[in-house]
Amino acid sequence: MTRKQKNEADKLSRRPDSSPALIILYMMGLFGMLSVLYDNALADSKPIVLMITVAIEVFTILLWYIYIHKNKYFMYLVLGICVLITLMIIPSWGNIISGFSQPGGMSGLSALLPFILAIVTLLFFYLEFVLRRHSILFLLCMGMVILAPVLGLYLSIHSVVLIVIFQFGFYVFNTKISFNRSRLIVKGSARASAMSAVAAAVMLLAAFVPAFIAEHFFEDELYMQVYQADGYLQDGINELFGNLSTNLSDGTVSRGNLRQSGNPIFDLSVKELPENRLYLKNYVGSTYSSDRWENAYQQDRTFFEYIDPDSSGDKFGRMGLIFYREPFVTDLLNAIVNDYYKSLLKELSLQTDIKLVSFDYDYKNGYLCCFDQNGREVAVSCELPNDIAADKYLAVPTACAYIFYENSTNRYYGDNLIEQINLYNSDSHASFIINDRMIDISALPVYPSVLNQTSRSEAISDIYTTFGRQGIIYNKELRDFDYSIMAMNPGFDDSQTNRITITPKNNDLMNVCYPYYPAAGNAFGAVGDNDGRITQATACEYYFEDKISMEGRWSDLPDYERFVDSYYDYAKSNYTYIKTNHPKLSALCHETSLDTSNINEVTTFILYTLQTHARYSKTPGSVPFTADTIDYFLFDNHQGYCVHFATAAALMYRMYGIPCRYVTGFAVSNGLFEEDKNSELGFTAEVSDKCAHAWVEIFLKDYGWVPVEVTPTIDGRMTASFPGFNDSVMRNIMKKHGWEFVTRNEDGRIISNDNNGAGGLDSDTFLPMLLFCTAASVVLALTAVFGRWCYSKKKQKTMSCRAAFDKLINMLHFCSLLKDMNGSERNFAADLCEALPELDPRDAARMMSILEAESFSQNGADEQEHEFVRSLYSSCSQYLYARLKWYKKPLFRFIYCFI
Amino acid sequence: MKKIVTVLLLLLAWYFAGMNRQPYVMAAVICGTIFVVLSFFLTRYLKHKLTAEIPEQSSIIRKNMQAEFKIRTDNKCRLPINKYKLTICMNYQGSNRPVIKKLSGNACPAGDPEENLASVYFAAPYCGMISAELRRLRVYDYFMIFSSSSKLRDKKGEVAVLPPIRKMNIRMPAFGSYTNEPVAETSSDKKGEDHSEIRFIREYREGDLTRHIHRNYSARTEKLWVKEYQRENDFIFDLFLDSSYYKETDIEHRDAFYELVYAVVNNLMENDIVIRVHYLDKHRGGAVMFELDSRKDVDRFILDLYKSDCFCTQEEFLNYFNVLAMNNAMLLNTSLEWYFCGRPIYRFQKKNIYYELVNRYFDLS
Repeated sequence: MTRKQKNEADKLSRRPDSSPALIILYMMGLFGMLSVLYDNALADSKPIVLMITVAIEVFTILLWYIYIHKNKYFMYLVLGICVLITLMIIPSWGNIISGFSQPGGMSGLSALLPFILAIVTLLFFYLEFVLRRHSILFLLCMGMVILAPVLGLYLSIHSVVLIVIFQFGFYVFNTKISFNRSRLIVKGSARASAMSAVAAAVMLLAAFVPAFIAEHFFEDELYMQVYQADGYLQDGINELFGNLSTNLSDGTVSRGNLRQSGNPIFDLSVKELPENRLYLKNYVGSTYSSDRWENAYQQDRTFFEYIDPDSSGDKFGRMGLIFYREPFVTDLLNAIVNDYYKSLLKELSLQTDIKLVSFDYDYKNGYLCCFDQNGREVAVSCELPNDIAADKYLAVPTACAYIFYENSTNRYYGDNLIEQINLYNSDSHASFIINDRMIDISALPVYPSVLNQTSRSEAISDIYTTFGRQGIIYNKELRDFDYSIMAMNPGFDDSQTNRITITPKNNDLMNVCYPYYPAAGNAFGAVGDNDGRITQATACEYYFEDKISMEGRWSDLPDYERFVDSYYDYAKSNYTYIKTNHPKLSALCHETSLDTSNINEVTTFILYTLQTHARYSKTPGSVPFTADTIDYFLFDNHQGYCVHFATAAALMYRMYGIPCRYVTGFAVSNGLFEEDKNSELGFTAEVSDKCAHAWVEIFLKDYGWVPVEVTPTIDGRMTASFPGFNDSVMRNIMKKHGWEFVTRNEDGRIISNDNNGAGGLDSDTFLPMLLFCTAASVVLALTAVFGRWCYSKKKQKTMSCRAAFDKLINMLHFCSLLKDMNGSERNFAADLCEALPELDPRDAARMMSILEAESFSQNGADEQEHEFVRSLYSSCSQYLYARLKWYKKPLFRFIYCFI
Repeated sequence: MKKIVTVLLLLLAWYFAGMNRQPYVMAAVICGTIFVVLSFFLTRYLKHKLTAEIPEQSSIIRKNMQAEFKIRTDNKCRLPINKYKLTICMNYQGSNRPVIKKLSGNACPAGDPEENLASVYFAAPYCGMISAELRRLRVYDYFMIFSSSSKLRDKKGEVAVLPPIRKMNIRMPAFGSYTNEPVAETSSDKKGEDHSEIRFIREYREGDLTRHIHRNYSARTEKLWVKEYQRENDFIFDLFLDSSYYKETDIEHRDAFYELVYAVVNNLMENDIVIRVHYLDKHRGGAVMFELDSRKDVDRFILDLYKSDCFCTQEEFLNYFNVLAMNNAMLLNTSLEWYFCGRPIYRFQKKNIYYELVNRYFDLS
């Protein structure tokens, strides 16, 4: 390479790419990114964001102009801007700092914002244009697009499209050409890169059109694929870590999609086929916070202390069981444990001649301390082995044994010699010898006293389920402990009630449940191994009312009114409580004034709101970290599934002051049952997690807690009914208020009047989006073609005679003329004149001689001869153009021959 | 790797789009997938539309300069090509160590006024012929995820690397004493200046000027005949190139030999001596004689020498050339020895030849 060539190459390598396609792509990307800011800004801030957008775009164009046309001043400009910013910041530094130190601290940031933006713009420009490093902005943009939903940022169509076009257009543009790994500078490569970038952008835009169509028409299928893939992933992880059982009902309101594996949970047998869906409740939520409903059992503790069967009498306890089974369990459980401890202390005192008056058992950490009458700790605290601590009942005797045996100095406690200890885990008792006397401590003697009371036996049955739900290891001493619930309903007649048997699958008692309005039944039973794992789960049996016909049944009972009233007051004070703030939902309820004493009107409004604001979807997507689940579900995403509908409904009921609880369990449709002649009951159904459901229950006097179905069907129908409320009642109320359900198609999309939409690419966004992409790709393609045409026209004025001749050959071939000739034939001039009669044969001959001279003579053709061939080419193109068919003319003019 | 990254990126975006229910991002993922599939087929299509060639099949440069090598790509497609990769095999003649170089470039679409011409530069440290061959052309899609390659056939070119001109210090003898035959033959290479008398005509030999061809006589006999002109004041000097001493074919040795021949011939010519160079070319099956009286002739001769197969055995060499004649002339052999009238002048060292040529004094008197 000569010095001159080297200098030229260096000059070429230093020269920036002046292609307008580059800056257009860059501006598109900037606009896309700033659009994200604009779309997510608060309404008050939108004009500011708009101003910032304009300022950044203008600043970028200015930088580009200087960089391209005044390249040598560019670095001075960069330095100047940096100095200017520094000079501007320094005097107001104190104000900025004080702005930050003020409450809120944002005034300092606002003062800094213009400088930050200027620096960021400059930095990005420098990276992209000067250093040609696209990777940083590439990662930033991709991160923004992918993580925006997680961060709660809304992405509009034009943001996504523009960012994607910018990303990949710039990526294509920045493709490096090299020779032997060193950068190669070739004249015209920038043009090829720009054309490639434009071609890629047009193809991407064009690909967006079928993409939007596919997204629109196969939306659910597409999301279902993700959801299933996520499911397989989760299953894989669970399997890997040995966490196979899933608790479907732990009160959590999911912020993501609903995944149903279809794994069977239990077998269900009924005597009579239910007319409607059979609701089997499993978990009742009391207070909603942090996307979780707290367990209602804890909530009701205070109330049931008040109606403790010991103090309120057996009758009252029974009533409590009928209406309020679950909370009662907790209370009774405590009573059982307390009873046991008291008897234990008594026994210990007797046996050891030490009067023990109190103890402290730390369930969590698993140790027990006993205190004598002087408050002296007579048994040192001991940390129990985990397997013992986990089992409360077995833990107590074992713990005592350990305390006296292992933690006494020289096996003595005081003067008492502790000689031997025997633990009988299988029988749940321990024996040890103190002062030659054998002391046997067992849990079992406690229970007969508990079992004497019907209510307590019922309670024990629930101990299983309670423990099961809370994930605690089952009580070993209760295994094989089969018992019957005695008839608690004075008017109970099993011939008049439906009967149900629930048989858990795979010994899984985590999701066991029971029907509404139970009358009597056998509880779940389980057999466990020494590690507390359930090896066999037995079925439970209930008698229940599947038709609510309890009205008046209890009114004859003494204290009924007092009890119901007291519970209603309690429920009203506890189940109308809302812990968290839901601004949009609160505003909606606040704006809509209803007669809160009319439960039907409130229910109708809730159903109307849910139906019009959201559609049922198992794949509503994740809720952004920053968003409130319910507000996002109803007012942004407009789609969700049962837990979202139920939570929203429960909160709305509570906002209107109506006691309401969130319930999860299983809703088994009657279509799932099959007649089974081998079954004692007649109809059986295999219930899988696909039947898992959430609903709300409201408190109705004389009925207790009744379920209300608030989740619409996939086509948007509302099927809620409860005593005093049905479809016709709902329609009347809606008519009165002028409310109207939206009509949805089988996919849940709105096909009639409504303005709330239901997320996704609905009709109101789909068409504009399609038009936008089509129009944008067409405009971009046309701009590219037009730009190329202008450039080529300009180049044609100076092209060589050989280039003109080559183009003439191409032109002729395009017009299907002289297709078998390439111009080197001897008779080409004559054939050309034959094909184009308008052409003077002398001109053709002269052109051929000029070309011959250009190719073979030392001096080549002179400028006049070049010009002659160019003009002849131009004339030929006009002749050919005139004879072309209309549809070939644009191709000829703009793509092939550039006339 | 890019394929894996692309698939991972698409999967990640698809997962986030699906899990967060982002229709636009999902559409972008579908769009990306469509584009990836399209890219796969695009490379197959573009592969058939792009060809590469070496427009100037032979070029001449000087040693130690950057050699320019032009490669033209012809894109018959209406779409631009964002990236192609060309495998170029370069090799010095006689060397068995070819160098593979990769050129990646882009190409404007068919019909575009911009010519797809890439000039690549590489160093030429030795004299000789460098042959370049375009072997494989790989075309990439726009995002460079997929590629498709095709083999190129008969896309060759060569670069002749001439030795640099060295100024030697030679003391010439009196003309009458060393010329074996004071003749007055000439062959002016300037058009229109040919006023010399034709001495005789002979058969055409490689290296003869085409304008010396006797057209009438050649047409009559259907053989090529050239006219030998008579010059008045020049002396003819015979130089034999004995390449029988050297058996190896390493580039450095060849380079030194070419340097030596070129320097000697050029420096002798400065003394208005017509040089007749004799050497053996096994390709042509015999002795070759070049008559040099201008620098252009020297360049043409050295190019011919590059292309010839002059390395032979002693016997072969002696079969073709008269020892007596050689004893009365000048001789350069491939052991880098220089003889004049049978008298050794100097033996050059391969590594120091540049220094020796320029700094030593050679007395031929």
